[in-house]
Amino acid sequence: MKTGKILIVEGDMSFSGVLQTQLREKGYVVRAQSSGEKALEQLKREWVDLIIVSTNLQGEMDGFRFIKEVKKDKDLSKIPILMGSSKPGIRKVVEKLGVEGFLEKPFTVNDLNVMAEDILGRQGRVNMDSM
Amino acid sequence: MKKKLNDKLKTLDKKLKKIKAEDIMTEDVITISRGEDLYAAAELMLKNRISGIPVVSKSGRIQGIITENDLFMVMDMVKSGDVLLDKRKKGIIPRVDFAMSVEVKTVSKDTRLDEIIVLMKYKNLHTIPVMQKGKIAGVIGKRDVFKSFYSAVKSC
Repeated sequence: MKTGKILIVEGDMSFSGVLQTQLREKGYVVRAQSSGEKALEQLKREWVDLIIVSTNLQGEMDGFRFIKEVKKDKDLSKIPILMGSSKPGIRKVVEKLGVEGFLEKPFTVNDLNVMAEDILGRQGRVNMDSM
Repeated sequence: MKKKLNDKLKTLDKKLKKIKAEDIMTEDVITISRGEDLYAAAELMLKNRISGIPVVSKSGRIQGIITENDLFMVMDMVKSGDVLLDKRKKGIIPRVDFAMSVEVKTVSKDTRLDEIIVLMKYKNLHTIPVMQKGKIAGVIGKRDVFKSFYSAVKSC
Protein backbone atom coordinates (compact mmCIF):
# COMPACT_ATOMS: atom_id res chain seq x y z
CA MET A 1 0.00 0.00 0.00
CA LYS A 2 1.18 3.51 -0.82
CA THR A 3 0.82 6.59 1.29
CA GLY A 4 0.46 10.15 0.16
CA LYS A 5 -2.29 12.60 -0.66
CA ILE A 6 -2.93 13.32 -4.34
CA LEU A 7 -5.04 16.09 -5.86
CA ILE A 8 -6.41 15.29 -9.32
CA VAL A 9 -7.35 18.34 -11.39
CA GLU A 10 -9.12 17.04 -14.48
CA GLY A 11 -11.91 18.48 -16.63
CA ASP A 12 -12.91 15.09 -18.02
CA MET A 13 -15.10 13.93 -15.15
CA SER A 14 -15.40 10.33 -16.31
CA PHE A 15 -11.60 9.96 -16.61
CA SER A 16 -11.16 11.69 -13.26
CA GLY A 17 -13.54 9.14 -11.70
CA VAL A 18 -11.48 6.24 -13.05
CA LEU A 19 -8.22 7.77 -11.76
CA GLN A 20 -9.73 8.47 -8.33
CA THR A 21 -10.99 4.91 -7.89
CA GLN A 22 -7.79 3.24 -9.00
CA LEU A 23 -5.42 5.50 -7.04
CA ARG A 24 -7.53 4.96 -3.90
CA GLU A 25 -7.25 1.22 -4.47
CA LYS A 26 -3.45 1.65 -4.50
CA GLY A 27 -3.74 3.21 -1.06
CA TYR A 28 -3.45 6.92 -1.81
CA VAL A 29 -5.69 9.54 -0.26
CA VAL A 30 -7.28 11.24 -3.26
CA ARG A 31 -8.94 14.61 -3.72
CA ALA A 32 -10.35 15.79 -7.05
CA GLN A 33 -11.46 19.01 -8.70
CA SER A 34 -12.62 19.68 -12.25
CA SER A 35 -11.49 23.31 -12.44
CA GLY A 36 -8.24 25.11 -11.70
CA GLU A 37 -10.04 27.79 -9.71
CA LYS A 38 -11.58 25.25 -7.32
CA ALA A 39 -8.32 23.32 -7.09
CA LEU A 40 -6.45 26.47 -6.00
CA GLU A 41 -9.10 27.10 -3.33
CA GLN A 42 -8.73 23.52 -2.11
CA LEU A 43 -4.92 23.83 -1.96
CA LYS A 44 -5.26 26.84 0.33
CA ARG A 45 -7.28 24.69 2.75
CA GLU A 46 -5.42 21.41 2.48
CA TRP A 47 -1.83 20.41 1.65
CA VAL A 48 -1.28 17.56 -0.80
CA ASP A 49 1.84 15.57 -1.67
CA LEU A 50 1.27 15.53 -5.42
CA ILE A 51 -0.90 17.33 -7.98
CA ILE A 52 -1.93 15.55 -11.16
CA VAL A 53 -3.28 18.09 -13.64
CA SER A 54 -4.69 17.90 -17.15
CA THR A 55 -4.60 20.66 -19.78
CA ASN A 56 -8.34 20.16 -20.25
CA LEU A 57 -10.05 21.78 -17.26
CA GLN A 58 -13.52 23.13 -16.70
CA GLY A 59 -13.83 26.82 -15.84
CA GLU A 60 -11.74 29.67 -17.19
CA MET A 61 -8.31 28.31 -16.34
CA ASP A 62 -6.48 25.64 -18.35
CA GLY A 63 -3.82 23.29 -16.98
CA PHE A 64 -0.96 25.52 -18.14
CA ARG A 65 -2.34 28.57 -16.29
CA PHE A 66 -3.05 26.42 -13.22
CA ILE A 67 0.61 25.30 -13.07
CA LYS A 68 1.77 28.92 -13.43
CA GLU A 69 -0.50 29.96 -10.53
CA VAL A 70 0.77 27.14 -8.29
CA LYS A 71 4.41 27.89 -9.12
CA LYS A 72 4.11 31.58 -8.35
CA ASP A 73 2.51 30.95 -4.94
CA LYS A 74 5.33 30.57 -2.41
CA ASP A 75 3.19 28.35 -0.17
CA LEU A 76 2.27 25.96 -2.97
CA SER A 77 5.25 26.04 -5.31
CA LYS A 78 7.00 23.12 -3.61
CA ILE A 79 4.17 20.69 -4.30
CA PRO A 80 5.30 18.36 -7.11
CA ILE A 81 3.15 18.46 -10.24
CA LEU A 82 2.56 15.78 -12.81
CA MET A 83 0.82 16.84 -16.01
CA GLY A 84 -1.28 14.40 -18.01
CA SER A 85 -2.05 15.85 -21.42
CA SER A 86 -3.15 14.90 -24.91
CA LYS A 87 -0.98 17.73 -26.28
CA PRO A 88 2.54 16.36 -26.73
CA GLY A 89 3.53 19.60 -28.48
CA ILE A 90 3.48 21.60 -25.25
CA ARG A 91 5.65 19.17 -23.30
CA LYS A 92 8.87 21.25 -23.41
CA VAL A 93 7.08 24.45 -22.41
CA VAL A 94 5.36 22.72 -19.49
CA GLU A 95 8.58 21.03 -18.35
CA LYS A 96 10.28 24.43 -18.28
CA LEU A 97 7.71 25.52 -15.70
CA GLY A 98 9.26 23.02 -13.33
CA VAL A 99 6.80 20.13 -13.36
CA GLU A 100 8.13 16.81 -12.14
CA GLY A 101 6.57 14.73 -14.90
CA PHE A 102 4.61 14.80 -18.14
CA LEU A 103 2.43 11.89 -19.19
CA GLU A 104 0.97 11.81 -22.67
CA LYS A 105 -2.69 10.83 -22.92
CA PRO A 106 -4.01 8.26 -23.33
CA PHE A 107 -2.11 6.71 -20.44
CA THR A 108 -2.95 3.82 -18.18
CA VAL A 109 -3.39 4.07 -14.44
CA ASN A 110 -0.32 1.82 -14.19
CA ASP A 111 1.80 4.39 -16.10
CA LEU A 112 0.48 7.05 -13.78
CA ASN A 113 1.10 4.96 -10.69
CA VAL A 114 4.73 4.29 -11.65
CA MET A 115 5.38 7.98 -12.20
CA ALA A 116 3.48 9.06 -9.07
CA GLU A 117 5.40 6.53 -6.98
CA ASP A 118 8.68 7.77 -8.41
CA ILE A 119 7.88 11.43 -7.69
CA LEU A 120 6.54 10.74 -4.21
CA GLY A 121 9.51 8.46 -3.52
CA ARG A 122 11.84 11.32 -4.44
CA GLN A 123 9.89 13.51 -2.07
CA GLY A 124 10.32 10.85 0.63
CA ARG A 125 6.62 10.42 1.13
CA VAL A 126 6.13 6.82 0.07
CA ASN A 127 6.19 4.42 2.94
CA MET A 128 8.64 1.91 1.48
CA ASP A 129 8.28 -0.50 4.41
CA SER A 130 4.64 -1.12 3.74
CA MET A 131 5.00 -1.72 -0.04
CA MET B 1 -49.21 18.38 -12.08
CA LYS B 2 -46.36 15.97 -11.32
CA LYS B 3 -47.73 13.43 -13.80
CA LYS B 4 -47.91 16.07 -16.51
CA LEU B 5 -44.27 17.01 -15.88
CA ASN B 6 -43.22 13.36 -15.93
CA ASP B 7 -45.04 12.85 -19.23
CA LYS B 8 -43.26 15.87 -20.71
CA LEU B 9 -39.89 14.57 -19.54
CA LYS B 10 -40.61 11.16 -21.06
CA THR B 11 -41.57 12.81 -24.37
CA LEU B 12 -38.36 14.87 -24.30
CA ASP B 13 -36.30 11.78 -23.54
CA LYS B 14 -37.86 9.95 -26.49
CA LYS B 15 -37.22 12.91 -28.79
CA LEU B 16 -33.58 13.18 -27.73
CA LYS B 17 -33.08 9.47 -28.36
CA LYS B 18 -34.47 9.86 -31.88
CA ILE B 19 -32.07 12.65 -32.83
CA LYS B 20 -28.82 11.25 -34.21
CA ALA B 21 -25.41 12.77 -34.84
CA GLU B 22 -26.08 12.85 -38.59
CA ASP B 23 -29.19 15.02 -37.99
CA ILE B 24 -27.28 17.78 -36.24
CA MET B 25 -23.77 17.60 -37.67
CA THR B 26 -22.29 20.08 -40.12
CA GLU B 27 -21.35 18.11 -43.22
CA ASP B 28 -19.20 20.80 -44.78
CA VAL B 29 -16.23 20.14 -42.52
CA ILE B 30 -13.42 22.65 -42.25
CA THR B 31 -10.12 20.95 -41.52
CA ILE B 32 -6.52 22.00 -41.14
CA SER B 33 -3.15 20.26 -41.39
CA ARG B 34 -0.76 19.95 -38.48
CA GLY B 35 1.96 21.99 -40.20
CA GLU B 36 -0.18 25.12 -40.60
CA ASP B 37 0.46 27.93 -38.19
CA LEU B 38 -1.96 28.83 -35.45
CA TYR B 39 -2.83 32.14 -37.10
CA ALA B 40 -4.45 30.14 -39.91
CA ALA B 41 -6.45 28.15 -37.35
CA ALA B 42 -7.58 31.36 -35.65
CA GLU B 43 -8.63 32.89 -38.97
CA LEU B 44 -10.64 29.79 -39.92
CA MET B 45 -12.42 29.81 -36.57
CA LEU B 46 -13.26 33.50 -36.81
CA LYS B 47 -14.33 33.40 -40.44
CA ASN B 48 -16.54 30.35 -40.03
CA ARG B 49 -17.76 31.07 -36.48
CA ILE B 50 -16.60 27.68 -35.21
CA SER B 51 -14.75 26.78 -32.02
CA GLY B 52 -12.83 23.69 -33.10
CA ILE B 53 -11.17 22.27 -36.21
CA PRO B 54 -10.19 18.63 -36.88
CA VAL B 55 -6.55 18.23 -37.87
CA VAL B 56 -6.17 15.82 -40.78
CA SER B 57 -3.38 14.23 -42.81
CA LYS B 58 -3.13 14.51 -46.61
CA SER B 59 -5.02 11.24 -46.92
CA GLY B 60 -7.84 12.60 -44.75
CA ARG B 61 -6.97 10.61 -41.63
CA ILE B 62 -7.80 12.43 -38.41
CA GLN B 63 -4.68 13.28 -36.41
CA GLY B 64 -5.99 15.63 -33.76
CA ILE B 65 -8.21 18.54 -32.95
CA ILE B 66 -7.48 22.20 -32.32
CA THR B 67 -9.94 24.36 -30.41
CA GLU B 68 -10.52 27.93 -29.32
CA ASN B 69 -9.36 26.96 -25.83
CA ASP B 70 -6.03 25.79 -27.28
CA LEU B 71 -5.57 29.16 -28.98
CA PHE B 72 -6.26 30.92 -25.68
CA MET B 73 -3.70 28.69 -23.97
CA VAL B 74 -1.06 29.62 -26.57
CA MET B 75 -1.97 33.31 -26.22
CA ASP B 76 -1.27 32.95 -22.52
CA MET B 77 2.05 31.20 -23.23
CA VAL B 78 3.11 33.94 -25.65
CA LYS B 79 2.00 36.70 -23.30
CA SER B 80 3.94 35.23 -20.41
CA GLY B 81 7.05 34.73 -22.56
CA ASP B 82 6.95 30.94 -22.30
CA VAL B 83 6.68 30.66 -26.08
CA LEU B 84 8.67 32.88 -28.40
CA LEU B 85 7.18 33.80 -31.74
CA ASP B 86 10.31 34.85 -33.58
CA LYS B 87 12.04 32.08 -35.56
CA ARG B 88 15.35 33.97 -35.45
CA LYS B 89 15.32 33.77 -31.65
CA LYS B 90 15.02 29.99 -31.97
CA GLY B 91 11.74 30.02 -30.12
CA ILE B 92 8.99 27.54 -30.59
CA ILE B 93 6.92 28.44 -33.62
CA PRO B 94 3.27 27.95 -32.70
CA ARG B 95 2.06 25.60 -35.35
CA VAL B 96 -1.14 23.61 -35.11
CA ASP B 97 0.71 20.51 -33.87
CA PHE B 98 2.11 22.51 -30.98
CA ALA B 99 -1.28 22.94 -29.34
CA MET B 100 -3.55 20.29 -30.84
CA SER B 101 -4.90 17.36 -28.85
CA VAL B 102 -3.92 14.04 -30.35
CA GLU B 103 -6.49 12.12 -28.35
CA VAL B 104 -9.72 12.75 -30.25
CA LYS B 105 -13.10 11.58 -29.08
CA THR B 106 -15.32 10.85 -32.08
CA VAL B 107 -18.85 9.57 -32.61
CA SER B 108 -20.56 7.74 -35.44
CA LYS B 109 -23.47 9.01 -37.52
CA ASP B 110 -25.98 7.07 -35.45
CA THR B 111 -24.80 8.24 -32.03
CA ARG B 112 -27.81 9.68 -30.19
CA LEU B 113 -28.09 13.30 -29.08
CA ASP B 114 -28.49 12.31 -25.43
CA GLU B 115 -25.17 10.41 -25.64
CA ILE B 116 -23.49 13.40 -27.30
CA ILE B 117 -24.73 15.70 -24.52
CA VAL B 118 -23.22 13.36 -21.91
CA LEU B 119 -19.92 13.27 -23.81
CA MET B 120 -19.72 17.05 -24.08
CA LYS B 121 -20.66 17.58 -20.47
CA TYR B 122 -18.62 14.88 -18.74
CA LYS B 123 -15.61 14.79 -21.03
CA ASN B 124 -15.56 18.57 -21.39
CA LEU B 125 -15.58 18.48 -25.19
CA HIS B 126 -16.52 21.37 -27.46
CA THR B 127 -16.14 19.87 -30.92
CA ILE B 128 -16.76 16.24 -31.86
CA PRO B 129 -15.94 14.80 -35.29
CA VAL B 130 -18.48 12.36 -36.72
CA MET B 131 -16.77 9.43 -38.40
CA GLN B 132 -17.82 7.06 -41.17
CA LYS B 133 -15.51 4.33 -42.47
CA GLY B 134 -12.46 6.01 -40.99
CA LYS B 135 -13.15 9.39 -42.57
CA ILE B 136 -14.74 12.53 -41.19
CA ALA B 137 -18.37 12.71 -42.29
CA GLY B 138 -19.24 15.76 -40.23
CA VAL B 139 -18.56 17.71 -37.10
CA ILE B 140 -20.71 18.66 -34.11
CA GLY B 141 -20.08 21.78 -32.07
CA LYS B 142 -21.69 22.89 -28.83
CA ARG B 143 -23.96 25.29 -30.74
CA ASP B 144 -25.37 22.41 -32.81
CA VAL B 145 -26.21 20.57 -29.60
CA PHE B 146 -27.81 23.63 -27.96
CA LYS B 147 -29.92 24.27 -31.04
CA SER B 148 -31.23 20.71 -31.28
CA PHE B 149 -31.75 20.27 -27.56
CA TYR B 150 -33.70 23.48 -27.09
CA SER B 151 -35.86 22.98 -30.18
CA ALA B 152 -36.73 19.52 -28.81
CA VAL B 153 -37.62 21.11 -25.45
CA LYS B 154 -39.70 23.79 -27.17
CA SER B 155 -41.72 21.27 -29.12
CA CYS B 156 -42.63 19.18 -26.04
